[in-house]
Amino acid sequence: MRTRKIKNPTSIKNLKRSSIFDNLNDDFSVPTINAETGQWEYLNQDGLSREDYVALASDEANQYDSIGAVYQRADRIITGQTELGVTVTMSKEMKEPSVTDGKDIIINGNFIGELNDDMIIALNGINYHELAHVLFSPRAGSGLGRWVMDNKSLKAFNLLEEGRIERLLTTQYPTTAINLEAMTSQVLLDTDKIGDQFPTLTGRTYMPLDIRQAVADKFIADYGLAVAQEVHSIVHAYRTLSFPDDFDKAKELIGRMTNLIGQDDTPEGQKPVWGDVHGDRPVPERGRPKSGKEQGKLQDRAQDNPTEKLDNPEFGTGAGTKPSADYEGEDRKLSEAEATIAKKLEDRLTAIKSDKRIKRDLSETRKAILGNTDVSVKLPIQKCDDITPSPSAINYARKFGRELERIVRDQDPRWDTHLPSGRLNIQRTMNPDVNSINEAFDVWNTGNDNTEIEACVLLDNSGSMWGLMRTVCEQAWIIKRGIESINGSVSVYNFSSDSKQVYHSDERAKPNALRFVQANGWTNPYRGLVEAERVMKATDKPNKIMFIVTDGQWENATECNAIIKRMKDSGVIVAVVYLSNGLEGIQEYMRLAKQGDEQARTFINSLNHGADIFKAVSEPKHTLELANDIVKSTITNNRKRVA
Amino acid sequence: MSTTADGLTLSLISVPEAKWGREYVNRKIDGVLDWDILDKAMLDGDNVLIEGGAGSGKTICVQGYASARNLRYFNVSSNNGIEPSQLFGRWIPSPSGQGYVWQDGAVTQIVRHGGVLLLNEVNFMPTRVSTVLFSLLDYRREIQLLDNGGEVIKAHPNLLIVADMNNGYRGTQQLNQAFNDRFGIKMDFPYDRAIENVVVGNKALLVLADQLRAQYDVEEIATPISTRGLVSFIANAKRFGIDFAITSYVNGFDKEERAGVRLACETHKFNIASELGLAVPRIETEIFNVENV
Repeated sequence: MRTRKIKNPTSIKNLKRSSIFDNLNDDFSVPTINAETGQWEYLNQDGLSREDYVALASDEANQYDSIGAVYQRADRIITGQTELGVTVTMSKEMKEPSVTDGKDIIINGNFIGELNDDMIIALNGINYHELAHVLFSPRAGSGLGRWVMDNKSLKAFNLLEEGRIERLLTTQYPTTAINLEAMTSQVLLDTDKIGDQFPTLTGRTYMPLDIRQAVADKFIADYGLAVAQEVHSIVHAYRTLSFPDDFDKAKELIGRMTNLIGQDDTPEGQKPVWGDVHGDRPVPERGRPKSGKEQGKLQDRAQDNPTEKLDNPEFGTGAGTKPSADYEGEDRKLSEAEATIAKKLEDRLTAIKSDKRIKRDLSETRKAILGNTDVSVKLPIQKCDDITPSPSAINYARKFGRELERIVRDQDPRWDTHLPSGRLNIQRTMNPDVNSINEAFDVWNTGNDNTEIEACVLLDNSGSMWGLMRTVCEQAWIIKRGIESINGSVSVYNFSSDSKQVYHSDERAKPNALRFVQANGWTNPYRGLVEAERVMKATDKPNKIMFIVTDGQWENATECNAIIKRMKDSGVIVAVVYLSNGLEGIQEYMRLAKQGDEQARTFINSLNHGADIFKAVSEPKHTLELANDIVKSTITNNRKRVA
Repeated sequence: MSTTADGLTLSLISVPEAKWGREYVNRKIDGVLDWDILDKAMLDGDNVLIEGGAGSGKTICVQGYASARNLRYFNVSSNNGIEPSQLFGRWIPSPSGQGYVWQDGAVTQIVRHGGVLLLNEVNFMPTRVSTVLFSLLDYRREIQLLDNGGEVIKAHPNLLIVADMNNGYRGTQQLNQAFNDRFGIKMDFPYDRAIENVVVGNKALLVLADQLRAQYDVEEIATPISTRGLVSFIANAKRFGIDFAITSYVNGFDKEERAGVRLACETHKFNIASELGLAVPRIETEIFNVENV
């Protein structure tokens, strides 16, 4: 695939980190009167308010995360590389469908439209192509990688690698061929000059013979038979190589290709246009490809592939060694030839996508992606110091965990005994100590398996929280430990001038260490709330709780309150815990608010943010008491609902 | 319904069908055949604990052994719903309509008359049941039926007690130490490639299983990749086709794992189907023509 130039691995890191929410910094400065409310509001250039943009972006981000998570899991299974990552980026920098550095695959989300069959098959193809790089491409630190860079032959190397890595992948997993074919066909259809794709197409023998021949004919018409034959000879020799055993042969072939297309720094105009179709993607730097022995075995097997036999030079077609019978000479109208090839490609794509069994496979994959609940957090990771919890915190965490375990155990299926109706307990009726008929029966209680919890904790670490952070972090750790003891998930985010991730929901808090966050900056929970909303949307756990621990008013309060309202409407229990040194002031305000004092009510509303539960506490330990009550009542209330 | 030499009806315990013994593929544990270990355990009155992954063949090993040795067999499935009376016995109305008579439960029957008793998923056994078994599992080799006037039943000389369990998997719990100590022989049943080569017999599927297990080992996947699941995969592929087999297999995984696992299965589909000689999705392109590969 055509790929963009990545100057250093940091670029991949940047692409990985970039998020659809980066565009939150877009200018929302177009003043408009809202027709429904009559209020002024500010829109961005697409006519979206910040709130609408976040709601839209949240849905899209969930879907992209879901796509990335699905391919990541599949790729990790196939490669056995547990650190392999697949990210769908919305970075505006990225112009190509996909890139990899050998350990991270980045798919360009800007190319992803509606998740229909066309898109799934294209995504499969893109992923398989990048997977082939991960599995088989030599790395930058290898002898060949260094040689390629030293000899400024990156373009030639990339052009040749395509056919080799895909030959190896389709030999190991023939199922991948149909997806790669669909992807390549789509790329060809999106190309201005299809004939120029001959160098990368001739080695892709999974493509139908007539299409390869048509592209070869076009290339011959444009650049002559001799060039086509030399390209064919190089590509087909290179694609049979196994690395690192064949590094020397590879250097010779890359050298020959460089002679044809020029070195990487050859000025435009001094090198053929067709040689620049691939771009100058860097040699992957990370991870390790399959060994020479494994590649060698696959290459031996590949020789038996029937599509390989079709490229026998004596056969004379399929790879451009000579024009096919369809070729009508150099005065042929090129536009017609392009259209002919395009028609063949479209017919072929239609045939693939209309095949019933492939349609079913694609539909299953689509359903699986849409139903996927894997969500990877896009917030940056907070740098934390691990500190030892106080003995009282350890005790509290244990106690909290045990209590929750007991509550959950009480929801297990069991016999409810000594009841006035149900199944007769004969032994009990024979017991002379039990005389009452009201105690002679038992009933099988099916219990309640809806005790799973998804929780988010947002911790205010703005400058004013200085001095309280140890306690607050300890509380978050206790809540996480407790809920994890009943297999619940807890994400912890901190917020000051921006939000960061302290704990991912998938990782478990260590029993003897907690993450300590320093206090500094302003009070803006916006990004943390957005991420919390995404996590809650994606989870299928029945009980959803969000705790927000803060000590003051927020920036962007209107937008933050809107998110809290949306979460409440979708069934999340939201609790705001307000930390204050003294409670006299706030208690007075609450009293006045209850009496109808408008100023007091406004002030209290500025603190509670419309949450289900608002509690002002002077001692951090009261936060835990509240959390304890909320979690327990959530589980047991759910039981009542189910019952 | 089977009858003992003394004419008692043993409706709850019987010798398993012969096919279980015939079809079982034995494994060697440190060079000793599994059934040889069970033979010796029965002879010496030792109890056996088998630990291993889900679907690794623990139950079938014991069931197959009982079948091959023509021994009665009873499997206690541990769950919170079982009651001691179901296993040990209870009073039932007399057929004559006058009073009650005692009826042995399955465990009592097998203790009286001999056979193989399998305590399935023993780490899930409720305490109210396991405590009754303590005296049977230690040197006393007896059970006392408190509900039947405190009758003490000495174990038949041909009684073999085996327990099995998964350990370390999601949803499992540690075995009570007092219980654990009562098993003199402990056998480990990992997924065995030699056995899987025979019972699964599909190299491509075993490659996929290895890949999935590698992810399980690093906790990327929470669902164990059992031999039983692989056998079902092949059976389903033969009966209903490769697509059905994949869908059925994938449905055994956690919801959030399914999409990724499906893609991995799809990637291996051609290779698995080819080995089985099954049709795979085929457009008019040479690479999908199984016959030519």
